[in-house]
Amino acid sequence: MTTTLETVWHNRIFYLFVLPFAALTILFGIWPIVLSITVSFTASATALRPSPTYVGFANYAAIFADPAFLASLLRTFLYTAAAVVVNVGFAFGMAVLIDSPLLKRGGLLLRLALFLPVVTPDVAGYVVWRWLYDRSFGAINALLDTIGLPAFAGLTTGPTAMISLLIAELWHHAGFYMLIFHANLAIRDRALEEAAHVDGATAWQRWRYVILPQLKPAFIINTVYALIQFLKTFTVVVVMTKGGPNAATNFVSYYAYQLFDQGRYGEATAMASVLFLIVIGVSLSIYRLGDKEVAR
Amino acid sequence: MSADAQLTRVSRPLQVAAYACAGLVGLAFLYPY
Repeated sequence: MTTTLETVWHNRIFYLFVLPFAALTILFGIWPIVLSITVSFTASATALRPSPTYVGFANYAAIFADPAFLASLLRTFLYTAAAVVVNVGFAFGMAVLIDSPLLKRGGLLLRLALFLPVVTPDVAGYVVWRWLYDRSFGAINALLDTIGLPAFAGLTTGPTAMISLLIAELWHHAGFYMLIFHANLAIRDRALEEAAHVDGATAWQRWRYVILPQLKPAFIINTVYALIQFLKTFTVVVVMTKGGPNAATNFVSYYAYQLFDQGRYGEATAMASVLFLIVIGVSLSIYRLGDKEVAR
Repeated sequence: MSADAQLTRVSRPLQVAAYACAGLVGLAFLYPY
């Protein structure tokens, strides 16, 4: 009979190769999460001392009694829902366009244009977008002015600021989702479409019942990835709006960051923990849903 | 016309629209550079 220790020793080379990455993940991935959750149960004033005062769920009670936090949570959900639909939809459309026989040439150029923003540093990209949206000197309003359309308020009013962030993030992220869709389109079984065509299926029927079901893995991966991405929206807010105007783009991650800056560590980490739980819950349930659908 | 050719057959107006769409999106995505 072999004990667990013997099995480990038998696979020692495997564990040796895994060790550096496991150590890095634990040190820089799991340990900070554990620390952050611990801090969320302490009083802010004593949070950074060697022996902090534990206050139980007081921080959680405090943030859920804070209307600004609840508003920011709702705002984050709304933005995430809109951003996921727009990004995945746009990326799917572009992948179909690139894959279709409609573009005999130029597909590579379009793919390059869509993917370049993904490899561009996000902060640099968002700084440029902030200029583009500028009311007085921005290129977008200059263009609208030239063709005689009313000016776009950009980052100066609440609703347009949300839209502006969404467009800037679409620019930065859509290429990645497009790539996943395109890869899935490329490996699909074309014989099925020919068979459906021979059997008299119309173009719409071929799309709906033959191609779309084969793209389910890409839809699940992209939706989960986009959900995680947009629930954590942070960089674009820091660079472009700082949560403004009038807290209209103050998402949970940025609100937590603001509180952390003010030394309210307990509440900030409580918010981060709530966001963490939401992200984990949402992504797990989508995966489950997808697995069930695929298994059926 | 073979089945394969019929599957990849495109109408002229649709193709023009596809190129216009691809061109506009491509330019819009390259513009911030």
